[in-house]
Amino acid sequence: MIASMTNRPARARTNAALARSMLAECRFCAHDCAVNRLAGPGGRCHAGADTRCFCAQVEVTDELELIPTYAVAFSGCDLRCAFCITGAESWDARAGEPFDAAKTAARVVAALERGARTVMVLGGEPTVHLHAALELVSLLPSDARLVWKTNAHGSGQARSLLDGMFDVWLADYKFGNDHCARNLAQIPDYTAVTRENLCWAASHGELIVRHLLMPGHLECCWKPVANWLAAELPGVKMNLRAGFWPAWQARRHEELRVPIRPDESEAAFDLARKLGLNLIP
Amino acid sequence: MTTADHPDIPPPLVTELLLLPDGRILAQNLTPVMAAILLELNPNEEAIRRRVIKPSNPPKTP
Repeated sequence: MIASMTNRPARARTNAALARSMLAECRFCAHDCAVNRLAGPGGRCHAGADTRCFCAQVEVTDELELIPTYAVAFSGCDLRCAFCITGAESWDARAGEPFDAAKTAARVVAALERGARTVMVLGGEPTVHLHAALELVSLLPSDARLVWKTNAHGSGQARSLLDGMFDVWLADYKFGNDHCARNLAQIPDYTAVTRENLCWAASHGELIVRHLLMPGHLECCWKPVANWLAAELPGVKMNLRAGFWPAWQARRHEELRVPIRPDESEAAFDLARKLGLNLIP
Repeated sequence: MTTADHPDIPPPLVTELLLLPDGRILAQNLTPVMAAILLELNPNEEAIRRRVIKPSNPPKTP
């Protein structure tokens, strides 16, 4: 639970060192590969111990209450979403440039002084680079508002290291069932893992859930997501996104070859309103 | 030249746009400058309007 962030940098430094040592048997995400990343890439994310960054800039794309945000995007991800908008960088942990925590922290501080409201750590999937993310946190002002943008596929071990480190968890709930998760992102046991992470995040700080509407997946994905949120996390902030575009390898799936239709989007928002979801822009 | 060669140089700024035949514009990694440009293209687009930073000196990537 986030009671005070005053000693966050010191705790982040400790947790970063712990996380780095845990790379010897990596269990940061639910794939639970247990490979030695200190010896080189080996697990499902294909990331070694070195962290690379493919984007670091002030952005205004995200939720209104979070922008402008200074977004730091690490290369590599543990999921393989066919429609990933940053697929080239997210599927390749070698993409981008070497991450330098001290230089990035200096840029973050300068952005905050110029009016950025938050700092967002994302990917790919930042859980893959937990050690680097925590190192960055250790160098940031304790009163900075930090956002952890995640696919919600992390492990209990990752959550224990992240406890109290970020003010907001901005978490995806992408798929409404395990079949679509396997088919579109090569993930087993998606639903149970995601729900466990969302419930933990909601009870350990502020949570915003995101769902990207996918064409042809309203019944199988959006509807179960919406129903579960209404029942299990009533009142949680929810950002329903209708900006799907057929990026990366989306064309391998016939229904994902087109953007979302306006009538699909309207139906999805109608359901959200009917269920009383706490939609935020 | 990359930032790996010169680590004091930050990564390049990137915004991606998808222009749809029906006139919709989808954006990814929208920077404040790009948001202002898109608003000029379509002043009635509420989603963009709310993302344009009002002050005369919006935060820029250092």
